Amino acid sequence: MSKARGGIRGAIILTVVAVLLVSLTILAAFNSLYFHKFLVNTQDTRLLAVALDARDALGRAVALGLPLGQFDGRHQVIEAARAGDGGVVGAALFEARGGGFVNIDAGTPLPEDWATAMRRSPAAEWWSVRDAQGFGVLVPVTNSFDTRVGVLALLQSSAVLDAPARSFNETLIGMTLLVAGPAALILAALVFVLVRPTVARLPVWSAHASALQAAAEAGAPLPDPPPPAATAGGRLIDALVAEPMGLLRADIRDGRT
Amino acid sequence: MNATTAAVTRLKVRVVTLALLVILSAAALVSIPVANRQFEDLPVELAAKHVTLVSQLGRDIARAVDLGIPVAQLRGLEDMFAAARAAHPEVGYLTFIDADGTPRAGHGGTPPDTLLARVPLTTPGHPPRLVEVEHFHALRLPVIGRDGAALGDIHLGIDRSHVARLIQDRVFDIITVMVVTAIIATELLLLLLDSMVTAPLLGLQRWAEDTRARRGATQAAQQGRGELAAFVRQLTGLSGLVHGAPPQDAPSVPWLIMLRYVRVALFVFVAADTLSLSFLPLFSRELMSPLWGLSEDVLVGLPIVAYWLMSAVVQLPGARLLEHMTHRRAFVVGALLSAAGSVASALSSDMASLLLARAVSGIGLGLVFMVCQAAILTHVPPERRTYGVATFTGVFFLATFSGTAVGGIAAEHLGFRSTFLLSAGVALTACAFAVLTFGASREAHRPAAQAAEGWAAYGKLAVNPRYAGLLLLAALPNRMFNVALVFFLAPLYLDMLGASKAEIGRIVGVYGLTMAFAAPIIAAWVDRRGWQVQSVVVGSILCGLGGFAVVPFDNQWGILIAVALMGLGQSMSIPSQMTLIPVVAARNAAVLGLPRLYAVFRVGERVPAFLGPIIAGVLVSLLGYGAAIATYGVWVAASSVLLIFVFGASRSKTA
Repeated sequence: MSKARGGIRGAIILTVVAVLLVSLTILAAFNSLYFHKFLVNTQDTRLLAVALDARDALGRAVALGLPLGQFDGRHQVIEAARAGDGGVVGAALFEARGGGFVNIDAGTPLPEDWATAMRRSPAAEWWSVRDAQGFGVLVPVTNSFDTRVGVLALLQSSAVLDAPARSFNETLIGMTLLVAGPAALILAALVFVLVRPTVARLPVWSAHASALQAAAEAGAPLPDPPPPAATAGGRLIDALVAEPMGLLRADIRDGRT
Repeated sequence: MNATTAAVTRLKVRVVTLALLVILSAAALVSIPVANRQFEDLPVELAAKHVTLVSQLGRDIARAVDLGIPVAQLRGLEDMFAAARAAHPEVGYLTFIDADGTPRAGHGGTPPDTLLARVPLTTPGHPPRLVEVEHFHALRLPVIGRDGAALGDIHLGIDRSHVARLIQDRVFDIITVMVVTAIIATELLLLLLDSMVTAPLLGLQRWAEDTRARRGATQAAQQGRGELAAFVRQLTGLSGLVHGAPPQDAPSVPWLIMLRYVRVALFVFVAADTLSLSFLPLFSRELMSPLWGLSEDVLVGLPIVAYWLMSAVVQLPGARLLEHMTHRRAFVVGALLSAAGSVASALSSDMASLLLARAVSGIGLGLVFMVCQAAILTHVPPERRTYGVATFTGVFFLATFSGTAVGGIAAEHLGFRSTFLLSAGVALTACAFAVLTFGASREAHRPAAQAAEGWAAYGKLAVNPRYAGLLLLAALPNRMFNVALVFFLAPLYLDMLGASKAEIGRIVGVYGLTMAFAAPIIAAWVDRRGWQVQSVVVGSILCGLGGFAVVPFDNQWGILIAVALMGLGQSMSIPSQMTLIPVVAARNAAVLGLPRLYAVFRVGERVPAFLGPIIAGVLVSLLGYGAAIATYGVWVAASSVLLIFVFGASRSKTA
């Protein structure tokens, strides 16, 4: 009995404290996710402004009837975009060819993830994409007949998110730890106080039952029942156990006679 | 309620209340400073975007000046600023002030020049310098000509209310997350307290009864973990010594504890299953591909149709399956099917594969739904079955609310497909829990039908006017409107109105929350007065009235009112329908048995419910969203009025 006594109180306290900590962790994770998503969206729309500007310049050349691949000024347009926004770390122009899009300079096809994003929302005006270099936007280049003749990708380094995200997460983790520690202690103490009376009388009755059993088996004098509990919590166990234990004691005694 | 149960209930209420108070207080203590921090950080991050915007506007001005147009003669700047503000609605004003300090063009509610003069200049390439001017976060950037000469400054103001809205949206999400956390914490703590305190105390009570009757304590007295259970085992041993060996055929788990296990398993399963509730139509639209020549409005509702149709169709064969399987095995089969359906949904590449995946999930839902109801009817003693059924209804909708709300947020952050995979993982958790807690004992089988079934008996049931009236004029219209509104019309209409996925999840989740809290209270009140028929009629009328809410409020509030009234109306209507079935079809029950009566009713209301979204799709394409919802409302309300006549006529005939 004594070995198992920590069981209920320990398990309940551990569980409520675990629930508290998991709740606060979920809250912190949710806040962190939200802020990260806000940062990505904001940086995406910043980059989008640059990409749309470059796209318009390319579109003007296309409108003159020049195929994208033969437009010599395309590098100048992309460099101007890079110069206008220090965060741009990668740019690529893809031309519509054979039912897909091919990188004009590298000759490689559009990355599969990006093509999937385009297929998933074909009517979108732009797509959010990412690769090893970072994250960014993909915008279509259209001709005078509103046909997509190419797509322009601008990427920025994930490093633009690092500083604000780290600073925010530090505040968040600090606040969470600051609150979680005292809250866990308070909760554990209060739950202990609430649960203790329910099990407080168990050792007394357990000892009585052991003594009764030992006496019954050895034919020794039967022990007297323990005195009534002083607390309401203890009285619950007393109310359940006292009378039947008395009956058992009487049956053992009567069995002997 | 005896003294033991009352004492345990008091302990449970105290522990759960205390835990929730501390958890929610701690969450508030973390959230308030974090929200303040965000209020400071968000404008700075937004400003980085606006620096780029203003730089582009400045470059266009400089280009015009470089072409030889004097600054004083620049035209079209207002149009350019208006277009920029339209693309960036958070921008409250844009103003160009030339190098002499003369305002040349502006758009939006620009503050007075004297205030703008205080705004510090942000140099290109440096972090933005923001100050608060009136209700704006103000920013000022120079416009430099080709020769390096300053042509003037562009002023931009970020509307502070935009930042407040961003924070407010997040606060709603946090409240939702905390409510769901509180619900889950409560379920978890009650499970723990029931298995560690209630079970051994009930065992102790049983031991006391056995000892008074001078017999060895039953197996029920020996269950549980912890020192209370160890104490009960010790006393059982002592009783055995005095009164002989205990009987072997007693139930192994007290019904209160078994009800808790069923409740938790159902909660986890339904929460998993409803994670995709708020975004399924949006996901369907993403996978839209031509199928069977159906219009897009109809096609987008088909995955929901397949899901509900299969969950209903499986009811009758499922009833036979339960006669040959333990509840545990049937639950596992249902949960595995649901998980497989969710994985398949996550991997689906077109409409046909999504339809198939949702159909498989629907079969899983139907099986689990049946098995939980059967477990309650098997384990809960007849005099407490109302309480058992109320528990079932309550937990179903609590889980629906939790799953829908969390699913909306998860979809926002993780995407649709990852949320489906999350759903599969949670369904497997429910499966594991059922394996650990559901008994494999003989009584865990649903009893076979007592009477031989025959078409004639079903025929008599079909022409029972009150049973048919209850099914066709109350259950069916309510269910069809329910499926159409909550699972189809509301998500799509809210999306059209510009609501975020999390907002859609919150509004749709109100249905489950209303049901979870209102149903048990209303059921107790209706039971005391015996007003089941009135409750069905008034509840249905309330559902119908909800449909009219979108006429005066053609916005998110209208949908919220419709969904909330649907929850309130169904809280009144559904439990009373269940109570009325054995009353209105007492003679049929004597022949067919109650379980088949319920199975026929469930199939009768749910199989045609698949038409709900299809009819809704047709109505939307003809009338638009608002009118489609209102039309459904008219039908439900009119049906309930007809039900009054059916019950009145059959009562006078009986008299």
